[in-house]
Amino acid sequence: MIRVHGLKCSVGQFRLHIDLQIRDSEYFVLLGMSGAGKTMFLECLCGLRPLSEGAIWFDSREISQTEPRSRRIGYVPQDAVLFQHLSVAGNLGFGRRIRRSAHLDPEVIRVAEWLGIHGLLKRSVRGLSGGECQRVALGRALMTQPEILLLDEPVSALDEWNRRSVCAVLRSVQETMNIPVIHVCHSRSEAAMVAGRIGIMHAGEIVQTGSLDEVESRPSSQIVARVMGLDNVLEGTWSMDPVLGKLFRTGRLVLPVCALAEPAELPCCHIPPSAIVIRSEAEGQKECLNLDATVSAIRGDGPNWRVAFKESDSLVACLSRKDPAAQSLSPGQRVYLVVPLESVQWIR
Amino acid sequence: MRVGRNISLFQIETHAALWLLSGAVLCLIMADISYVDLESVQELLRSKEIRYAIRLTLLTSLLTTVLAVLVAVPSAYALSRFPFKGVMFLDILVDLLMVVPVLVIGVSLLVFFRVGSDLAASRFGLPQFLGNRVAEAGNFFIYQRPGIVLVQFFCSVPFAVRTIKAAFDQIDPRTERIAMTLGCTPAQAFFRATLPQAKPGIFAGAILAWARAFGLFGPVSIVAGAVRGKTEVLSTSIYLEISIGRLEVALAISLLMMAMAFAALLILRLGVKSTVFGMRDRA
Repeated sequence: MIRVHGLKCSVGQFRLHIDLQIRDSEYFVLLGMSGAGKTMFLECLCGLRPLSEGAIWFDSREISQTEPRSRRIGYVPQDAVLFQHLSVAGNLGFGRRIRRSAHLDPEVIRVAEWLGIHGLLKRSVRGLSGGECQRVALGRALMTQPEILLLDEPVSALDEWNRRSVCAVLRSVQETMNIPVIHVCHSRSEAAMVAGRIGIMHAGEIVQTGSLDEVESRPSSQIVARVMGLDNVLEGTWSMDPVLGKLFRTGRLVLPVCALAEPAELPCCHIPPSAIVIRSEAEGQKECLNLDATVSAIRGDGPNWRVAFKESDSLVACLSRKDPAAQSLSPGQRVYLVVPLESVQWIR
Repeated sequence: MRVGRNISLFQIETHAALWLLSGAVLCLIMADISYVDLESVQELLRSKEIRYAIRLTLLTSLLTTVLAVLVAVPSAYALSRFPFKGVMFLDILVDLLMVVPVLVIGVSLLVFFRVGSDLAASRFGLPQFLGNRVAEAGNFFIYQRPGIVLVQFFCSVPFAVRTIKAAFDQIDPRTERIAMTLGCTPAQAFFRATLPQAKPGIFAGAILAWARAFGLFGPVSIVAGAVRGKTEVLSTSIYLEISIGRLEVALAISLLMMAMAFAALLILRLGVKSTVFGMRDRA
């Protein structure tokens, strides 16, 4: 288990403050926007940045003061950073040679075969594609038999096919080696391909952890919702109506709060796109918000359709492609939206 | 605007500038050649002093190059990687050697050893001790062959530092950090990850340092003198031959220096895959 306790590190005005536990053989994905401190955190873990406070434990071993070369942490940096003067085989075997293992051993070939780069071993790293570079960087880190693997945006610069392919390799590496992996990225879809658990990082702190579904369905703050790329995160104001009681207003949407179990006046709400029901006729259902809207666009999103509306505060609904209601929709069509009030989530 | 099928006007303009410059250099060489007769060349080959000057020039310039690279590599690395307070001041000091006239360097060295001799006459312990050491060093360098290397070193080392620093600047510092996570000490990371990548830049720095040392005259004659058969390098020979009115022999020596420099640069360019001096990268 990795335990990060009260880790503090500063660069200029930026402060990193992390408390985190990662279980053995867990694939942990750290999501955050650019400048959140993700890379800095990884560099602290592998000893490339000194801590000003706090401790890092790996099982019963405190590694905060250990030199990077003795931590047994495999680090795959963003954009690979390969040794340009060496061949692919030279890059893969770099750590092995430093650790005085056998010169060019079958292990290089085995790892290269595993990562699908055995055909490139004699090539120079100059001119490799992005996906190949990332595989070489991953293989180079794996060759030292690390006990922890840190991946800094390993697929962010790759095309979709390579992203999927490298993510599948990463997952397979973690399952085979049975070691904890911390994977930094800023894409929800990338996290969905590999994550066992995720953490959301903002301004140097981890603000929420949990499974992808948990975080997505219950974002703890607007920041989390923004990092996760959630739709229908609506900011609004509170007011008191003599008839309807306490109301939350956001553009055309007015939510009566009496039916909602949210005592605090939080500034933001989230309506999951899948909770919005589209009807062709007004029904006026109880305990629901009923709205009329005009369909502005319908876009495919995997097995679903994403439907956007002209007047309704950038609301987006998500319908299964198999849903009969989705079949008859077309841009410009007048529809009625039903939002169950119980599906509305309040966030800070 | 395109002139031919594959040639633009811009290409023609850039090529014209290059050919004009190269043509001017060729004109100078041709002028020298036209002035040299067979007798001067024979004189050049027969002269014991000139053969000695060739040997001394090659020896001192190569020794200077080795010393310059040995000092320039760590200095350039420190300038490139460790930003500390006052680094700009040190950077300017290194550049100063490149900007001031080389004669100033020669005169400064001479004055430095002179001040040392003055201090040796002091009544106080430490200045006297330091003065004696400087005076001893002065005896070793002034009007002696080691003085040639000393003055060549001061004149050529900033070129090596500047070029090698540019090479280190181009290498991602993360390369060393990654090497450290793979089991390297900081020194191993430097020698195994950074230095091999900086090799073309180091060779380029060495070429510049050698070129500077090879043709140096003014400060050499100030510090080491122009003593025939003792501290005579090829540039000194040219001066000595002109001073006794043998212009043809002086030009023959000049052509010999050009040929040696051309051969050395050609060998290094073909041997080094450098973006600064190499040609293979363009292929």
